[in-house]
Amino acid sequence: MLHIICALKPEAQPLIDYYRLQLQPKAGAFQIYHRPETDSALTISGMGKSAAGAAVNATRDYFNSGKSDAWINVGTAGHASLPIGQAVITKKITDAGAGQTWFPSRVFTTALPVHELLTLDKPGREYRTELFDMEGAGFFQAVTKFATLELVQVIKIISDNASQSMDEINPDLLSRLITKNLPVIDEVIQQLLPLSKKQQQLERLAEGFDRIVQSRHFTASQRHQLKTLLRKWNVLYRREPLGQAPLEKRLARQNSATQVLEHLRDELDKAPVNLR
Amino acid sequence: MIDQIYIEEAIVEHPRARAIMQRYPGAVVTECERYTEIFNRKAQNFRLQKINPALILAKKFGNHVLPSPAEYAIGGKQNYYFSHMLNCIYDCRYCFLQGMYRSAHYVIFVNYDDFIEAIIEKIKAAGDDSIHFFSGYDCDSLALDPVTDFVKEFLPVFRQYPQALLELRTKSTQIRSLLAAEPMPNCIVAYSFTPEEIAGALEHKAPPVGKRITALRQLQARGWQIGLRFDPLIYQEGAQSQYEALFAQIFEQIDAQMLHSVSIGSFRLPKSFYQSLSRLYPEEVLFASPLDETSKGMITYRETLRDELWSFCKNALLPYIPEDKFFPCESA
Repeated sequence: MLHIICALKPEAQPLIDYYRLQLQPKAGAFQIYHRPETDSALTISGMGKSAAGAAVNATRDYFNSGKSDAWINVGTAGHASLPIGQAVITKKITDAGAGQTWFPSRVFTTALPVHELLTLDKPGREYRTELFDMEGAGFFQAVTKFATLELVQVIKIISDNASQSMDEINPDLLSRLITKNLPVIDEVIQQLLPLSKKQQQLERLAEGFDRIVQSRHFTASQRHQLKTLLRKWNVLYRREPLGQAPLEKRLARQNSATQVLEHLRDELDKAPVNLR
Repeated sequence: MIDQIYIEEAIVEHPRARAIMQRYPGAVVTECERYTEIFNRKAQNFRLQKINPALILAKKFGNHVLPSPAEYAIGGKQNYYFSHMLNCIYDCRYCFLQGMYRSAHYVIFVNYDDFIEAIIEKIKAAGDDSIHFFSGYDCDSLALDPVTDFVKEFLPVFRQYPQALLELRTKSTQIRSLLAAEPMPNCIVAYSFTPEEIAGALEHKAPPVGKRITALRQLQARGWQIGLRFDPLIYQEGAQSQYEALFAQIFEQIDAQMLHSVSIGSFRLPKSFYQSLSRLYPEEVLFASPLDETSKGMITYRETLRDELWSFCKNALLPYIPEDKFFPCESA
């Protein structure tokens, strides 16, 4: 699943429209948009790093997110010289207040310029060689506590620079900046999604587990053993994926957890090992 | 192709760091205080990073040379290893590095002088004891040689100290620097092999077995000492006949009498490494093979299977080589 975190509604609106996301009722303190068909969602955090962190946590709780979900913070930032409207991907994020630093891990190639980002506690007017914003560090710190680093990215669009100050920023400009960059934002998202989906598939290798444990009593240790055995069973008997009739049929006569585990072990002992 | 480089602030001006960076002019360079900020982070995914690993240039402080486990010895009384690099450009599914490190990025420690100083210290302290150094534990010794200049920098040290032996452990065919250099009796180029059928399934991105044998042959013809490493021995249906064919293929092309050493070792991993690997690659048949935990906390093949493959390979190898060149590695 993909989660987009934006600080402001004008930044979020073009993405909500582009991905055809629907506002979720009863989503708590944050506005959360979702489209189940594409497994994508967007949360509006409000300004500041604490708000960004809180939005990440609320989104995680709402969707019960796991390690295979992809996360992206899309927003605007200032920079000394980069042109207004330039999209940038970040390589180092520093929390100016706390002095803490994070390094996003990018495993795909990108044509976007790559820069450092400094997250300030208050709006800044001192333009510098790093990008500066107010959310990036809060987002990154919160999300990397539970997500997979390689599935987390921060994209910023330059909204102000030394020759065009932040006084000129207005909701309409923010929406236009995001709209103009929808193709490049989507390009990054399309690179993240297959990685996320692949990870999701790997986590599902013990599928069939729920059905087996529903009808028999398994202790915690037996549940763990069952997961391991099911994973191996699925790998060695590739042509009979879990959840389909053959395994269920085989296990139909095994009434207890012990019998199921023994049966699976016996089957695994007989399985040929072919590495290809 | 490297497109991201991390470099410690303190070595930005180091000549070797600069030379390496010049090889990648298009790479995005990010400075950090210590390489561990990137390499040891939590929540990293080794498998995902392997898609596009970054290069990390760093300085190693202390522990430049460490004692190597006795069971890995090939005749030396004192045995040490050193790692100018962490991680490998190949992607062998059985490799313990995937379980040992959180990151798949390549770390190059550019302060070779400190490694060399530590090596010389050990050599001098060893006196009359035979002393061996292994360079290919935490990386492939040669795979990035055109970038690291490892051979060019470290071989001259061992030329000065003929009583010390250096093993370069590799699967690489990057042997230009060795072919250009004068062979020396105290340096062994040891190649790792599994049969083609197994290498094709597990040794991703590594040179094919045939090309490794060609490299071995060229090195031997040039006068270099060579070694063969069948470690780990990997089981699958038909493994015995596959190993038999591999031995025949190798010994048909090299001079067995001129071999320095041959070693074999069972597939084994510390339990925690195995757990990490099987989580990273849950669909991998290797980790669904019949494995057991030994009393030493290692995960290896079930005893009968392991012993069968081991004995078979030992018996299939010994007709080709004198027994004093055979070094079984029994660490499971």
